[in-house]
Amino acid sequence: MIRYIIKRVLIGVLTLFILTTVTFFLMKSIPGNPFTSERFKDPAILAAMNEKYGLDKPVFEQYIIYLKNVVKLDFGEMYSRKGFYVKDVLLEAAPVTIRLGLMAGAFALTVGITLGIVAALSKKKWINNLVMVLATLGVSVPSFLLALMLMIVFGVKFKIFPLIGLKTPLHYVLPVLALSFYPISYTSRLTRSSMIEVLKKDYITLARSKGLSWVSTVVKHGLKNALLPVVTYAGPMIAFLMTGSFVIENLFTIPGIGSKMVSAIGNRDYSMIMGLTIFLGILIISATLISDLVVAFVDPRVKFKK
Amino acid sequence: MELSKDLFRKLEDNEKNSEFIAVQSRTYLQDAWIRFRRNKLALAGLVFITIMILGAIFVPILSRYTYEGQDIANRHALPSAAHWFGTDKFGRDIFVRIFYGARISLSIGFLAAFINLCIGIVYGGISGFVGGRVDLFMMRVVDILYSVPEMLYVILIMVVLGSNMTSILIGICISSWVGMARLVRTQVLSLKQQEFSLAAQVMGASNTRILFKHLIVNSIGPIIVSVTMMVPSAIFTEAFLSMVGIGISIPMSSWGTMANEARELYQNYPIEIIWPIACICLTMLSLNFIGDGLGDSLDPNKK
Amino acid sequence: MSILKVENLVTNFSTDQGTVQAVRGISFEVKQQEVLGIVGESGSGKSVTMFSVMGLLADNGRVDDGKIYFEEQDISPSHLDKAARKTYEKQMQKLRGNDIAMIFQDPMTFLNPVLKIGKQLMEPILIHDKCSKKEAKERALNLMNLVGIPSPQSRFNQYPHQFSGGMRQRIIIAIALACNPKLIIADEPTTALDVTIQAQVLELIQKIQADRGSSVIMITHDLGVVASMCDRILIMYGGKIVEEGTDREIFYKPKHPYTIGLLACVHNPDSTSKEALVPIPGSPPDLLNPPVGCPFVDRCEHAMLVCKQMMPDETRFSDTHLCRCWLNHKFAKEAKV
Repeated sequence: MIRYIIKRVLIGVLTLFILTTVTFFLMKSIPGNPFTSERFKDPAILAAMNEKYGLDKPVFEQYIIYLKNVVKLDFGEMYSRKGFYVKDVLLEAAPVTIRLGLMAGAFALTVGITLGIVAALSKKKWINNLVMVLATLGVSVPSFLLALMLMIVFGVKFKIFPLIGLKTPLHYVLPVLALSFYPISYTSRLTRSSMIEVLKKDYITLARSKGLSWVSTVVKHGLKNALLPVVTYAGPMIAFLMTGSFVIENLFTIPGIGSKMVSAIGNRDYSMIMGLTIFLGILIISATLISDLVVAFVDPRVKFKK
Repeated sequence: MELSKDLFRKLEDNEKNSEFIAVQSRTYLQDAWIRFRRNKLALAGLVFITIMILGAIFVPILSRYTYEGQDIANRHALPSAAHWFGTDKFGRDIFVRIFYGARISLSIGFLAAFINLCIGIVYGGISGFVGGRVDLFMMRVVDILYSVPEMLYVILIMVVLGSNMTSILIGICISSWVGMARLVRTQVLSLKQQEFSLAAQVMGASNTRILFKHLIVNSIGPIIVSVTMMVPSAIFTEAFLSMVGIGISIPMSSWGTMANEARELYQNYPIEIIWPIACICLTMLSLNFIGDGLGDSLDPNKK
Repeated sequence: MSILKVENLVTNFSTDQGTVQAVRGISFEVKQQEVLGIVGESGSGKSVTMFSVMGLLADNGRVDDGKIYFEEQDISPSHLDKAARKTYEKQMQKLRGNDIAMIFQDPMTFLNPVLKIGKQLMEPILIHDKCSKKEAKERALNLMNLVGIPSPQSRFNQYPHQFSGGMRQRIIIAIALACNPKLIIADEPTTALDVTIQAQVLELIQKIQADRGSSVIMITHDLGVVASMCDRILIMYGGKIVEEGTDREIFYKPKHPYTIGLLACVHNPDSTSKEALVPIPGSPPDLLNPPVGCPFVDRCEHAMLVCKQMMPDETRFSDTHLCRCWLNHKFAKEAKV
């Protein structure tokens, strides 16, 4: 078990390292640098700027410095706003995105698992069909389009929910709904098929032959096995929620990582883009790691695989 | 029935039917098609996609409007006989722009799926077939790429390469061939174990022939399904990038850019944003239905 | 008194291609302390019969006719109305694992991979005997001892994948024995095991049966397995019982051509002759459209016209021995002459 954890953590760190490297050199490969273009026509000022940001040093040296700083979560100064640091923006924006993501994640898992189990256990055809249609709709409608539709219907037409910011709990309703629709469909579909698969297993028959009622068989022998794939999925789902928040936050004017990313892209603020990318990488890789470790903890077979 | 002595006559061998075949035999593809046809949703999806493809080819050619032709006098027109879907803020005909957008969105979807398929088959095929250390290394690379969400790569690449169709394609392909490679590898591994590949090896077929002829042909089902599912995800990515502001550049239109443009004015002219949203959703829905239908009908174990 | 009595049992499965008539009207009984063997190839309906008795058929399976009695108590499955189904399910929950227990065939798939062995073993005890956890654990450890698991204390908290196939089969047997059942149904308990372990497992079942005086139904496709331990044997083919008798009657005076064929397939180590094993040609009948007549007709070397048209009646040879074959009809004997 300990070996498994160490291995998983090492792979996570390696992934981060590669992501950082790729991001860094991709950004460096853009012709020119942020100061060549508009404001700094005077070569002397340009040189001064380059020196200040360390851009006059060889690329490899810049890379080493950048790596050292990343370890300290220091992503440098913003290119687009002088005197502002990427780290500060991150620390301000991250809690918003994480809170929104966790709420949407918890909502998606609760609703998705419930729907999936109900569909798997129910003998009524219409319940099954309903869940399947919902699931296909959910994977077909992109979250940002759903958000737009929700805004048109509930915000503009009926004016039930506020559309801007996250001031009150009511403000959360539409963004959380828009973000969690896809994960809900995916989770319900996954839970349903995994539950149906598990209920066909021989150990379910054995459990029933012991005299367990159908309900306790499902709860004691089915649930744990059926939910393993769902737990595995929960990590990547967080990843989806984080990147999915890019447009959603922008649409609802929520000051999270997503809307910062969109404006950084618009401003070509490379230090900000790099910082946000790496930070998102850290969040996502940790989420995947956690869900994998939970699976390893629940499923005794994993510990013995390599 | 009355028993009589002549009933107790011994049967000749040809009067028995000892080796009968219970089910009428059809080829795999016939079977798959019959099962696919039974799935009404998948069939509807197929019809819709066909209409979209035909429209994407012919509407821009046949229409009297062009995707960039502006008519300032006629801005934000509602749907009418002249402009079936209305006009946008520059007075451009939305109907033509939608189908011009279909060209871009659909070709991005299908091209991306095709390129992914090629990369995935080569990478996954080699990894699964060679096995051993090579496989271990190649799969570690895949694992690492897989654990970072593809949207991050795509955005980075778009920022570096600029906003145009080629960089969207490159971005999508760099990030999403990984899933296909994994799938192909799993298929190859499981098929490698089965008797017919062993039989081919014993009979002296060369390695490459075994790889391509037997293994890939036999795992075609799940691969086709996964390719079908890749098309909507590429369309999704394109729309996403356009919404972030780094998709196809104006005045070209994709569904994503149209939604993004109409978004600023959605409070006043909601109809203009409905068209691209409806197109994206219906196309993705249709492709998902087709994918599900194919998944059910191509699975040889399902009868 | 009989412990289990089955009368005219009919079990069908609905599939995409139509109704599979897996069991087509069979009757038999199991007496107290008796070991009954049910022999037949796969698809003959032997396992389905037992799952019908237990009420554990798959969702698409249904008992459509017939009566089942356990110690004179009617336990015929009812699918007709909801209330009856509920009472039936309640009744069966009390019997399953307590009075009737089942030993399953595949040790690799019948244990829950994510639960500890000890927990799975304690489960039936806790359900039926309402004792404390501590007591249940003690009994579970005793059971592990009984079925020959070395160092049960340390094995108790392990998971199934840490056990070998033979050890898992022993655990499955221990689970079945947990509540001292009056009837043990063993569904091909040795098929998935190595030959050396097969013998150990059979010996174990035999020993337990003798010690505890339970009745055992032994289902197998291998006559060699039942030879050593069964008092009576049923031969099933195509969803019907074709021959029934004591072990001596079946082995020394087989009447049905199928039984004779099966015996030819068993290698007899005692025989000095170098006779070859004789396979039975052909394959079992399609139970989607079962034959009107004798199901074995297409593979029978003595098949007659009548066999194709009518199912033979049973012919009695002794109190215990009966057979369903037209060859035993007086006309057949005359025709031969």
